[in-house]
Amino acid sequence: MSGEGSTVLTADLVRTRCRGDTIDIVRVDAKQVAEAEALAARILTVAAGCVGCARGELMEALSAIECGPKEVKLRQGLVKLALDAATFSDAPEVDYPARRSALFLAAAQARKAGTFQRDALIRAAELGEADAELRSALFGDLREQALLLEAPKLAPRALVASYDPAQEQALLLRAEKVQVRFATLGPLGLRHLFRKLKFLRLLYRFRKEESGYVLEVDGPMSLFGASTKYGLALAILLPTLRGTAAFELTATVMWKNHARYTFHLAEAVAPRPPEADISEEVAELLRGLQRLGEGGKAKKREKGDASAEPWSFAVSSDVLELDPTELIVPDILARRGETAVFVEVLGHWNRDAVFRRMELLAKGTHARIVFCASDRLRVRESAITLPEAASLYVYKHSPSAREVFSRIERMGVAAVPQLSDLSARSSS
Amino acid sequence: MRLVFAAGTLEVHGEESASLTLPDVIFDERTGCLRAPAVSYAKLVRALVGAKVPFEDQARRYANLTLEARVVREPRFYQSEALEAWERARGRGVVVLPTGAGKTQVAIMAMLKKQRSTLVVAPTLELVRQWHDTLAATFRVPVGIVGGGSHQVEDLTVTTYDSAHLHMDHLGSRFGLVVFDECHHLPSDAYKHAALSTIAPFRLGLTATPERTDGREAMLATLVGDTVYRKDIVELSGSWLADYDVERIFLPLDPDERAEYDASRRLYRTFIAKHQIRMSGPQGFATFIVRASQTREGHEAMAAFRRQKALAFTARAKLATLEELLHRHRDGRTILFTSDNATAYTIALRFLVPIITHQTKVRERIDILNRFRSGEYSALVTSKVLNEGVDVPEASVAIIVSGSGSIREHVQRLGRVLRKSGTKHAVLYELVTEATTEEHTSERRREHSAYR
Repeated sequence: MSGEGSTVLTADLVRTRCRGDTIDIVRVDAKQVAEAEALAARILTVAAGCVGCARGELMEALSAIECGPKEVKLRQGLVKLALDAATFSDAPEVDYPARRSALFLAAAQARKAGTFQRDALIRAAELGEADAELRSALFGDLREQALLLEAPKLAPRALVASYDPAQEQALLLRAEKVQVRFATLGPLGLRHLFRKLKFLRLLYRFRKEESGYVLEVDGPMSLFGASTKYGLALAILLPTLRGTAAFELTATVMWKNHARYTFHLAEAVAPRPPEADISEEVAELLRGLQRLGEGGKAKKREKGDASAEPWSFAVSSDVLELDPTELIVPDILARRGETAVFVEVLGHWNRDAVFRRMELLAKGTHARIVFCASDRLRVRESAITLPEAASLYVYKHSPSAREVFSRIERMGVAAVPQLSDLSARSSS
Repeated sequence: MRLVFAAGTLEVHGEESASLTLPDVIFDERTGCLRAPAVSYAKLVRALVGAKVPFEDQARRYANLTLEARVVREPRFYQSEALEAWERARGRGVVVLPTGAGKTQVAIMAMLKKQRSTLVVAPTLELVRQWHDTLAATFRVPVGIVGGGSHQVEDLTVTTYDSAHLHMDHLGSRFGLVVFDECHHLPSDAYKHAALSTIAPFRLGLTATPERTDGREAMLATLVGDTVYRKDIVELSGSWLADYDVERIFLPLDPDERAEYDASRRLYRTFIAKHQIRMSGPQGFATFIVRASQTREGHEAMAAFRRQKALAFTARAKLATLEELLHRHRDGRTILFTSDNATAYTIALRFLVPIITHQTKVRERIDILNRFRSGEYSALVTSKVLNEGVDVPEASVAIIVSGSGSIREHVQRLGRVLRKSGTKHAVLYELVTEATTEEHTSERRREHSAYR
């Protein structure tokens, strides 16, 4: 089963308003909320009614939802966000390529022999005779044939509430650089932000002014000319900024006909400072590992084996240096005595980061580390040979604590220096 | 002084760097060092060597190789000329040769000449596979693939433009020679970074048609080098490429089809006239989509637009002619080209021929092409994915069922059947439905010497 992947809108779905050299998104304002929620409700109702239908049919049904001329992009955007939250079937169990190959080979042979008769070949293949029937019997594995298994579990209000933040992110896809002003910043927020900047390989200038702090973000290549090369990274950074502190953002955006516009965004409400600084996915994995660790401890106690220490799990506060250009900020630290194994959950955002890590690790590592990457990143565990002390775990929906635990156990006996010898250093 | 590769750029570290005048560098206050785009590596090194400045090159991570070809092929005269011209340009430049003329051989000769770690960048996974197989068969070294779910980096590696754009920030120092196959793809906002972010001092661009409708081919000079050698189809056909004929067949709509075509066209034209949409303008079609999605009248106009296209693409007379051509060439290898996937699927179902589109998985694509090469399949249908990306010397018939007005696309499609094989005589049929927009489209795409 698969969801739709990213929840960032594409640039063509953003509603913008340009005035002079500034650009802003057309927000769902207080007057439109009721109308937008009604539209969202219709989209969600259609989707719920289409469970079991093919994607093509669902899309057709959704495109038939009528709306006013000004709401077309709103409808398309809401549809995209709703589909992101829906679940479609994975590749079907039927071997469609084999089915196609059998029929096409028989047809090719008949054509060469001068006996080609379409209807007879189709009857012999027993795949149905009507065109629609044959199409679905032969090409049931196409994307538009994927079945909607689960409608989005969203209330209309939540769907509409996610729309403007998604538009803001989409606008930043075309950003060349971003300047952010913070009135105040705490150390936890800063660590959170710098960690993300490193992860996204962005460069920044940071300065303190009377009114607060100014952060200018772009990438190494930006020095030689404006480029939207880092737009995706800047868009991904936005939720991190929101979790850092109240801020004012100014971005230079390349929009219509390659013209440059300035985009302002102010987030006045300061968020609660990040405490554990981990995502819900990591928190869930940590809880699972802690349960397994406790279970192991109890088993050892039952067996009267008090000497062998069980694994303990905590949020990691280390930064590992893979090479001078690549730092890893692991999410979880597993310890048993002097043995340490790190876990980093790469999720489904940054495919490039996975490959960079694998490539560096293939040359050897000073630390034991398990990387967890979603299969939505289209990476395979067998794509690269890793040393014994490193492991890539590709998971389907969310990382399984049991699988990660078993890899930690295996890795616990891999030959690498002990914790005291690691080149890890604390970043806090 | 040190040169360091950093995320697609070069950093120049060391106090003495401040007193030097170096090409393309700018002081980067974010990191407190001089920075240049990676593409300037060769220029920068030459400047430092010329000024007799000692420096530590930490950027270069590519290797000198000792490649040997398992099979030594006598190069054709134009392949040798192309290599000489490329060498004279310091190993940077674009070679323009028709499809089937042996561009891959020019790249292999360049690799043997330069003996550096080499990255080949190709537009499709099918071409990546073909390059991988050719390089693996030619040299006694492992060949890596980056893209399509693989990430194996070797001294000889093949990748797609998409993957090169994504990974060059960290792979950009690993290769001394980069071959950009079908390099007309390179001058786009995204793909250009595949060339800008690598230090490779040697660069070879290969294409049959460097010209782009947006005129950006001029960027190739910076990204790869100037065009150093060029030969067109008419200069090589007969001796080095298969002889060929081009046959344009005009087909009428049946009376009921004509009536429906005219009615549909009238309906959609009335809509765009009412909304003052200029379909030939750059935003014409996008505006039509937006307007059409707003009202029931718009939905009907869009349906009419699709219907009149479908009628022209799959007119009864066209399908009957297709049947006759498939029968006539049943012992050969025929590639059917369409302008859209819907028509390709219609033809696959109607004539029961295998189909390759962007949705066809690699395994099935390989299976279809292998069976096509072996002759088990005598025909296959595709929309655009095989315009550049199938190397079947046995293919001798191309049928353009429908296409765009792009000259490049049309030349590429012809190129699919021009690879010389024995005494093969290739033929390209263009099926055009009379008195429809197809006539105008056909005229536009034939403005090339190969069709005169």
